[in-house]
Amino acid sequence: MSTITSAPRSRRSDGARRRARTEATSGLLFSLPAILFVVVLFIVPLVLAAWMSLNDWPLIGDPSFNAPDNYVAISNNKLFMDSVLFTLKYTAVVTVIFLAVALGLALLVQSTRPGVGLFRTAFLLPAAVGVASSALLFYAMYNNDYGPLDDVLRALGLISGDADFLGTPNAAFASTVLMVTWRFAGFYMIVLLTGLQAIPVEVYEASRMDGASWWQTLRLITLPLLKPTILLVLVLSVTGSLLAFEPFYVLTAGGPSNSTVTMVIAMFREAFTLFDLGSAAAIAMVILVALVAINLGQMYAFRDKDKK
Amino acid sequence: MTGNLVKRLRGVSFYSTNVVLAVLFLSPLVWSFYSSVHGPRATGGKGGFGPDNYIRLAEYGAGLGRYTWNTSVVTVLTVIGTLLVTVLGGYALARFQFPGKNLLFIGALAILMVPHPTILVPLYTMLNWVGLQNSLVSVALVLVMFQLPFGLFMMRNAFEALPKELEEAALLDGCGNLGALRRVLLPAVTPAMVTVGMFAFLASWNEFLTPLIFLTEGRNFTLPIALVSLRSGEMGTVDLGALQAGIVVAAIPCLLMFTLLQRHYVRGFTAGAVRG
Amino acid sequence: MRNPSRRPSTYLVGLMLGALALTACSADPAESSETPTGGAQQPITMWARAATASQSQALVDAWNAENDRKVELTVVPTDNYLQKVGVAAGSNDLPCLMASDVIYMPNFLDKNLYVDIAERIEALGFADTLAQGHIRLSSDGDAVYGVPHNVSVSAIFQNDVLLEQAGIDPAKELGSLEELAENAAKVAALGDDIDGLYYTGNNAGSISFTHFPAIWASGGQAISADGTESLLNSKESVAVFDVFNKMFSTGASPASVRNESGATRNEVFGSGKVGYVLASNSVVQTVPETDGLKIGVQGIPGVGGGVSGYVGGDSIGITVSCGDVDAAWEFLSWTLSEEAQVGVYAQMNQLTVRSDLAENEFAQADPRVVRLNELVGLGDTPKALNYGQTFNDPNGPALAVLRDAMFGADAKTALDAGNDAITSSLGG
Repeated sequence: MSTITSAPRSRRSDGARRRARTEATSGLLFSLPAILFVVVLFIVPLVLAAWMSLNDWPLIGDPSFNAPDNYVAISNNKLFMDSVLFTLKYTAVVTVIFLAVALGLALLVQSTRPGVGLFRTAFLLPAAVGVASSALLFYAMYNNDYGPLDDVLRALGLISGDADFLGTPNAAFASTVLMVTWRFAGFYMIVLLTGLQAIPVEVYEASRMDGASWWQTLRLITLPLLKPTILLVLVLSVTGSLLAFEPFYVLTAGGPSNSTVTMVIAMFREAFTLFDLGSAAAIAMVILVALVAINLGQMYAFRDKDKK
Repeated sequence: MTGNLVKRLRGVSFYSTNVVLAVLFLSPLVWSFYSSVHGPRATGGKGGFGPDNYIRLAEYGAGLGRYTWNTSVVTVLTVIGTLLVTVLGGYALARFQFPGKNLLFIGALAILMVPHPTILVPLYTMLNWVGLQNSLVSVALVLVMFQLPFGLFMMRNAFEALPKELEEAALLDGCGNLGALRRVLLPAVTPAMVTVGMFAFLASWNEFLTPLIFLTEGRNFTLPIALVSLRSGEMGTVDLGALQAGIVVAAIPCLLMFTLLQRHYVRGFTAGAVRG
Repeated sequence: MRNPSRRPSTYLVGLMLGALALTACSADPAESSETPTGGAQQPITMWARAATASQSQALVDAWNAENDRKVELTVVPTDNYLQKVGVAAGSNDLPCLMASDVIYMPNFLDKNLYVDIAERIEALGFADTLAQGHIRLSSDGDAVYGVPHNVSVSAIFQNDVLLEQAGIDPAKELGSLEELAENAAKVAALGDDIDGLYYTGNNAGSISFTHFPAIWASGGQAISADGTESLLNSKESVAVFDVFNKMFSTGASPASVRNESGATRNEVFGSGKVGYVLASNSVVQTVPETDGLKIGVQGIPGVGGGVSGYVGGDSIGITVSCGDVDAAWEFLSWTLSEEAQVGVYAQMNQLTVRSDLAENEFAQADPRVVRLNELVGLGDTPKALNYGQTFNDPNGPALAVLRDAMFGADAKTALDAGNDAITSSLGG
């Protein structure tokens, strides 16, 4: 950009500046609804939440300013501190799995063969089930006395004796990852599929004419062009997983022995079991700052190095 | 001859992979459907199959019709609102330079990064001040807000992927920005719009926490709240028959919608050809 | 209004929201008018948790059929009740009448959510017949903030069909917890698909509901009378959990109880493959009998004898947000009348909240209900300010300790090690 605009700047007419101004006006007008939503329904309540985090905020009655007590208390909140590492581990694991599975599925069903729509629908259908309902459904399947899963696995020769899907920390973790993969893989598949379809067919045709193999095409053509979409998936998966609540709350209740407590479960306990809204807001603010930092980092790593 | 064989083999492996995966993805839902019509609570103690779980669900509280209507209102408002805001906003983010542009994008993305319960408490207080509590409209407004990060990101990507020449041609033809958007660009970003709309649909159709917090009267409740109420019992017990029937009932509209929207994903390919 | 200084921004926000609402959508069918909880002809608003809502709904329907001043019941999903209350209380937007799981009453009292109705209760004339545990948990000194709304009791439910197959007389009263263990082992020996004793082993609220009575029946206590100290490492408690520990390790209780959070408990018992289940009286209403399942009721015995039960259920009070306390009380006092207790509750096979109405015509028809009513009389309800966050919250300190006591190597070691953590949560 700079190479084009810097040299002839002096000769640029009023017209160009006016055009820039109209562009800014049009841009603001087009984004006005979005701005209103973000400011009124998000920024304002967020400021209120930040204010809450600086106060001792009782359920009923007047709040009293007590900063920075709520923030200091976080470091003594063992449940929350222990949950940070677990949440990070969960996020890393599921994000890799989501990306791999969803990309595999998307490449599989971007084909135009007959009947492919049925498969897309099959993979996407779990996304139609609420997260809490999915967790309960899997909870029922994981119960050896009621659910069919252990019988199926035994019949297939994959396990012998009793299965214990939720009894140990590792098993509970793996069982939850399986559930969320089932629930979200199709969702991310559609996101990636939408990105894949924005890639013009001519690009593929040119690559095929150059004699590129399937793998080369994927690595050199598809993935680079899919970068903005992959970034979107990363942002969604990382934030979604760092804020995970329902999968563990319903499926493992944070157990066994609090081994699967996520950051939001710990925050939820502050807010609605202990009714300490100030402390809960403080935890939320910390999470927010960390998440914004992580996501800006991701976007920086994915930035278009040769942008215009 | 060999080419044909390779093609046939590829077809076989394509379909068998897909079928195996589809079975894996669908089996929990199939089991859910099976259990919803089988067992003592489905039949009232008799053997075989019975519709009791569905009958209980249909008659629960203010009735299945009422809850479905409420959910539909929220869903329709959310989908329309999300598309309106994100198409305009995504276009602006992709095509215009304006002050605060990056701030808007980051601000919208930050919506993803706040635990919902945190933001719902002050939002509830705020909406209370302006007398918008207990209304389906306010639920939809909040849900549109929650959809913004995904929608804006998606639409921005979609508009950025379009060649600039496309709208320049339209602008030269005398279209205004809005006209160019409507006539030329919208058809080209249809797959993205379908995805954004579909996810807004899924999210609002299944949303539980927002309506639960904002609606204070039972007759305004949405289907997910009613389903959770119906299934939850004392001491952590769950009416699994109601859960499974609820999963089936809530999934049917989604199934219909996916099937209807399928063709838009195929159209994305042909849209690419037009550009050449 | 929490902070009047924010007023100007409020108007701005309101204007924007209003504009958004108008432009985005004008076809909203639901009237979004304000709903003050008082007002002359406004309905009386009421919240109840979903778990016991069928009973609340029956009462409200019966009242609304007879009265001009309607009661409008909102059923809130059980697991989200505290959340809903927390958000609404902050905006002074609670319903007029709010029911609550009885064990949360001391906490809600502490948060000043209810108004004192002690004099009104006294004026009823039958105050001493109301479930005393509920009244105790709703009281703070002389002030009383709630009355029992419904009563549940923990008990042992047995499958008479399986018991007979195992050579056990279903009609014989269980003499002790040890006898329950012996019988459960016999039932479990029937085959590998058959379980002896089933219960919710991954939910401390439920464990306290079904296992504390065994401690009481043994002559001990689970927590101190003032609710600030855990007595789970006492001799009686250790003996009780030792029996459960042995049942688990010998297979009289199946491995799945360890992961049972409650969600599948009724389905497992309903399958007819379980000899005994520790549960609440709701089993009688929610689990249908089949050819392979005939349900009998037993009290929960202690080690060496005795019998007890945990009296739970919901209490209900009038909130500080209520604009018309008199009207709300009119409904509340009616729910305690014979007309409501016998004509509505007893008729639907539910327990009455008044001891003088327990032996009514409907209860007599089902010996199991008679037995459950007796157990309510024998039972207890522990009172502690921090009961919910200690026991009912899955991330509270009790769950890990109790699970370790039942499923670990040794009950005594586990309870000794974990007792302090529970005490500090109760006292905190």
